[in-house]
Amino acid sequence: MNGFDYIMLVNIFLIWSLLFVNIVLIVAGYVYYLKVEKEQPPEIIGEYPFVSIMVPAHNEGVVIVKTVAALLAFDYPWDRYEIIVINDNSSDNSAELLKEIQDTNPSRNLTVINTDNISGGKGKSNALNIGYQQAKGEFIAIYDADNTPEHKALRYLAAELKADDSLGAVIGKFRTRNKEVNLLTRFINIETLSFQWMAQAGRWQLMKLCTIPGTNFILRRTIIEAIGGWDEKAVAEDTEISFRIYLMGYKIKFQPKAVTWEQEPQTWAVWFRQRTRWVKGNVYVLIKNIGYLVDKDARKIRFDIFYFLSTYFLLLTALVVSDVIFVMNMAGLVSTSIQGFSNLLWFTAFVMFILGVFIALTTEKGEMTVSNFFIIALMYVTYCQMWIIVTVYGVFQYLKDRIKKQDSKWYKTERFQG
Amino acid sequence: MKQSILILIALALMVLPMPAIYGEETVNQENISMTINTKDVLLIYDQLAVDTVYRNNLNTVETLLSALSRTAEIVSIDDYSVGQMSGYQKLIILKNTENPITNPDFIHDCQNYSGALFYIGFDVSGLIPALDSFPISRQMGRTVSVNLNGLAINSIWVDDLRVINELPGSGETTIGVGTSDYPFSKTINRLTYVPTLIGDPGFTLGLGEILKDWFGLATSADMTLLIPDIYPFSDLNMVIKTSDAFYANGIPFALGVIPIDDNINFPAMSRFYQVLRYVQSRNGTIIVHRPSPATVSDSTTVLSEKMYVVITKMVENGVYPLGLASGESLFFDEVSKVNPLNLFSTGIILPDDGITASGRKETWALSSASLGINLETIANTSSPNRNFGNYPINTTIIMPLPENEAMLVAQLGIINHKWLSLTDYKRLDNYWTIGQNTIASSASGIRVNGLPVSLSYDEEPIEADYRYQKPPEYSLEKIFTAGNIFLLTVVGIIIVIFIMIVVFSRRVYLNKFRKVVNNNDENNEPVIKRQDQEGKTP
Repeated sequence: MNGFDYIMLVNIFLIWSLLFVNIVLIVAGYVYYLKVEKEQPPEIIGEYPFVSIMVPAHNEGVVIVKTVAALLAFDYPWDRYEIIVINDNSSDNSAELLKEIQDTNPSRNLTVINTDNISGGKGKSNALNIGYQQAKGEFIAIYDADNTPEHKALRYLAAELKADDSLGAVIGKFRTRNKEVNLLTRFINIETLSFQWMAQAGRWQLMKLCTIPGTNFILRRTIIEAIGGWDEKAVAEDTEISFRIYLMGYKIKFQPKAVTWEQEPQTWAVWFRQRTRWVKGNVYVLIKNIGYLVDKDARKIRFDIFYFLSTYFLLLTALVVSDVIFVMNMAGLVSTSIQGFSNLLWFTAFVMFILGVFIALTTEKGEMTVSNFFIIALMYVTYCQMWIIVTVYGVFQYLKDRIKKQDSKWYKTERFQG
Repeated sequence: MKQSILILIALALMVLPMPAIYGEETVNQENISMTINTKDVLLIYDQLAVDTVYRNNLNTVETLLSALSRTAEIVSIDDYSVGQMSGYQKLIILKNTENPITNPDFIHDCQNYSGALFYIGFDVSGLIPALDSFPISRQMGRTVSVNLNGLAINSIWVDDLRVINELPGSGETTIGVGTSDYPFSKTINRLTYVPTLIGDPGFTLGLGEILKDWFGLATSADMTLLIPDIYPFSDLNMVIKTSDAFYANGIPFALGVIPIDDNINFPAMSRFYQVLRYVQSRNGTIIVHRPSPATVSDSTTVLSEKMYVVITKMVENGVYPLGLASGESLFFDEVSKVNPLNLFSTGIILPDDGITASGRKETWALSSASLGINLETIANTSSPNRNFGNYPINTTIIMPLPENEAMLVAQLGIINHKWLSLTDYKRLDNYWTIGQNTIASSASGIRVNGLPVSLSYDEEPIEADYRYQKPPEYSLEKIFTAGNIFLLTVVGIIIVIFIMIVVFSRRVYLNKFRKVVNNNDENNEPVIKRQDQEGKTP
């Protein structure tokens, strides 16, 4: 055995270990789904808590009207929630559109904060910090500007948070509004569902852990006060704030009945830029919090750090390195002698992957279809491989920014009409 | 005029077939006379006795006749035609059962037969009056030895032993039972009688000696050694190792090469020929080992053509097959169908466990042949002298290619321990002309088309692309094989569980959305689907 053999051995171990971790999460997520299905939707007992809904928006004219309309339509007492739209240095007609909504809804608690390139335009965290200055609610809810939440989403989120003091935040589920547009949006639809039912529901069921997804979640005002607002250097502010909530001893619960529909990228270029930002942001948060992996007081987030570490570094490294060695081996540049596993095993693992993802789809109306089954198979050879490229690129970009000592640029996801 | 023409035509039509009819009759008569004149012996048997210990007897006699290069016509008593045996100077009757004979023609002809008669098996009272006077002792369940030519083949179990209850003559082949010896056969005038025959190598060799004398064949006999069933995907490394080991021990041997008629220009064949040349250089002789016809082709014509190509190709590549190894069945086929295999002058008749098919048959024979015996027979044979000596007829020890070095050492041990005197096959008189090539071998060496050839081995370089490469050796093979099974099991279980979840989910899904449809109070559809409300923000 040579050095490459040992590397391949470690890679094989890592790939299979992480595969089995995800299998466990799939099963746990499904168990949680069954549990939620049996339960009645959460109801608010007693006085409705006052909720400040913050919507950071940068050039969101295409979608903002529909989003604010959906927020105004919440099945929640009008006097018990406010909507704060932070129109963050927009150059489009967002300000006019928001003014028009304000004018047509004078009786509603709708605040629009227009920032310029001096006070704003510094990313989502900065926009949230600005909005937070004016927020009066004891609970803070965040929605992205492209969201169309369901009628009772806020009621369910607030009810869960009010009912349990150990919860720092409650996250809802997001669905893909434009999933029928093209193959990419179908891929994203499947990806988001499987991620939520595997990583979110599974971790909640097993370890009472969830990661705030960036939209459709509610948290206590006291938490924001305690952590001093959002970290403006973090381009993945959701992951960052999740870690902070864990460290304060709170839990983050996944309530799948609180649903929002959001628009996902419709082109590969937009998807690539958005996901690159996610990777960079998560790598930043991971490196910032890596020390907690060995911190005795941070037991609760150890799994999450490990999970991120395994996804962005271990699995990625294993996949990339084994692919590189495979190609070099084929080219005759290196030689490996370990036997490896049979093709049959890899094929069954592939079947297992398809079924595992399909299980997540069985939870949603209209998703348990034959076509989706085949789309998952196609995803494996296309979309999942693209993720490897994105991750490599994101990590590379992050390291480049660090070496050049540049702050990460917050890329705003381009919206589409419809 | 017209009438005379018609008469002429009618006469012509009447006369013309006559030469044809006459011609057919002539041919038939010629065929009959050829049968009479060309076959050495008529072999008549009563039954195949398939469910008895005598089931291999017919095969044994047929094989021995081929090994002794005798041709025969073979017929069962039931199929015997009147006067058939009168055309033969030699007749063998094989009586495998005690059943009475019901063919009166056979009984009549038997009683009036004047040629040499070789009778094997159960006597039928009155059939051959001289036979009834032989003193037969019948003994049930005996372990016997067959003693021949100074050798004793031991530990042969016989259920029903019938022996001639007389003292054997000096140098005679005998059957030893305990401390007693009985003659294997007895000859009185034109009648030779072998009371017991079972398809055992000892009895086969004993019968071989008697038949050899009966046919009046030369007394000397050779013993050779054959490694059969070698083809391009045999363990060629072991072939080389065995060749080296035999060469080092001074053991001449022959290699039975199965003729491959497909892909003969492939690199694997080049490597194969290379190995065969190496074997020749290590005192090995190449023999064409004709596989069972059933595994080759249904078309004998195609097979024949292919054999020409195969043998020509071998010669082109410096491989000189000197003889033929085949089971007995080959000799039942017509010569034209087995051509060019019949053109070999010498061959090895391999033991065939299959029961010979019934029916009238005629055999052809090679000029010289030997009987294949296995190494176990050698091991069961004892010799009073240090040197093993020879069996009374030509024999070839069939030794399978060793599977590993330990087996090779064991086989070598038997050969060396027995002090066998093996003959170099290529020093026998071998001769054939196939296609454009004529090959002869003798004590003076091999000649191809009259010219002597060197058997020294000069390795020809093989192009790198075609050079044999050992399959890669993998590390951690055991761990990965075990891991593979383990993971396949685990993944299989997970897949089953996942399928169960999907099926269960389907039920949950149907219940869930049926409930939603029925529940009029449930009104939590996404706002995006409630287009009518979107423009009506309160």
